[in-house]
Amino acid sequence: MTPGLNAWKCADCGTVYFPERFLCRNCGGHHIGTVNVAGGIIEDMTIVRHVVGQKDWKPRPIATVLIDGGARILAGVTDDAGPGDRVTLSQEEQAPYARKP
Amino acid sequence: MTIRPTYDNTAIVGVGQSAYTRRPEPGALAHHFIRDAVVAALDDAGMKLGEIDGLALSSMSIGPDQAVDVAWRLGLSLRFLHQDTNGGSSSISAFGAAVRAIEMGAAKTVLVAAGDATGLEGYAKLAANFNRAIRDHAAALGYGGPNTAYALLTARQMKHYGLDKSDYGHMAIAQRIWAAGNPYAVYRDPMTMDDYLNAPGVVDPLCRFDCVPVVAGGQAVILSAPDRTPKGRPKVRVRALGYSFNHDHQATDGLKTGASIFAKDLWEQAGAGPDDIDVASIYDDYPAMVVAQLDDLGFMPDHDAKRFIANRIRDRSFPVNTWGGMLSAGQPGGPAGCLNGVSEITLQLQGRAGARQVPDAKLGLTTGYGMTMYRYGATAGAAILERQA
Ligand SMILES: [Zn+2]
Repeated sequence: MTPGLNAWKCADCGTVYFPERFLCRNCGGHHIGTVNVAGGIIEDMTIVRHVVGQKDWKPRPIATVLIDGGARILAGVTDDAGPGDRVTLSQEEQAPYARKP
Repeated sequence: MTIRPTYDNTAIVGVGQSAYTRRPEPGALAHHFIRDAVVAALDDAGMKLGEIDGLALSSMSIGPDQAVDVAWRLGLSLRFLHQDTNGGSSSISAFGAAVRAIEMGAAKTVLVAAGDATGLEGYAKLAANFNRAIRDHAAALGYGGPNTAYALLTARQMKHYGLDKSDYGHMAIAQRIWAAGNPYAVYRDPMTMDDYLNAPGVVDPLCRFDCVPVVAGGQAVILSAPDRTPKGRPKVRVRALGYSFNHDHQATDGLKTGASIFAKDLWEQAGAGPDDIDVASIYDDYPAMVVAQLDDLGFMPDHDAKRFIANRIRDRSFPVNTWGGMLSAGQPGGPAGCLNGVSEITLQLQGRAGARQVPDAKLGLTTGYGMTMYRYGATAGAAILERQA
């Protein structure tokens, strides 16, 4: 896990994106760089209890997180954080995770 | 100036489907199911294979083949070819492309076909590699396919409209009652509210009966000049088409689908409103998405989804998904599901829907929704079909 989430940001107007975009839908600009986002707020949450083709599946919590700067992402939840909670973001490879600060 | 298209030179002259099966035989290809649907549609239209000069194909499991490979294997030589692989609404997009092709003279008789045969293992692979966003940013979380996206969306919708699990249960149960009249549906036995509420949880708050059963299957529709409609059947023509792609950039709560973008234009094209619709097929990958599309299309002007379900869907006074929908009939991959809707509305308008026939259906609506790029569907389409007097 690395701290923060590697997201993307339009250098011209500041709109934050996740996943990556190649043109900015807000201003039409194409200067889109990366930005490390530290946290966000959990909006809603679910527990994935069953997945097609998987035996011995352990339930996995997944949340919608409104990240600082404005994008909504899907993140795994690694502690007892829930809807309304402020969370700290981290990343494993390209997958985002959230937990209480 | 707004161009108001008309589709006077096109009619749906034949429809057909394959058997739907939960577990296809080893070696059974999407091609086989598409073939079965095409044979049925040709038979229904009273047409010969050689009369087809256009193909609009949707499938997510013909790979490594493309539409032209399928044309070759089906013995078709064409002057119009279209392939749409953009998720659950792709076959209603392909249907629109076919209508426009005929209206513009690009082809005389177009076969619109869709089908998939992934099997459960193939489906799981497809779900985890659906696109770059899912593969790179969601699969490792245990995302496990669109169930997760629609669980989160359903939770938001329940809060927004004040809905309970039992409201979605009434929708699933009503569709199951309709399915009893559809010999092709994979689930036709009655379902009780206890069955629904006690079903195993899949992704909270979704239970087994909120998630479409994946099947292998194919659908086909043949479009041609109205005078090619088989004798003794009323003509079915297209009154209006509406489409939207990437309507909100995945940036909102997803409670409004792309149908909200084209609803006004769709009704204006049709010269009709929601109250004029006698029968509807609303893409039902999840009950929540039926609610969302019905609201987007103006069926609940007070946005009171709970009341609409209680007063119109539960008692089936508003005939929606009269073939059982995908929730009971099965989802033959995303694309063929909405082509089944086109087929069903055609049968209903022609008085050929058997035990599930809606009396004197004159105007029907059919929709598609899908391509869950990240948090919810990015594509939507709708067609209003009419029985020509
Ligand atoms: Zn910008």
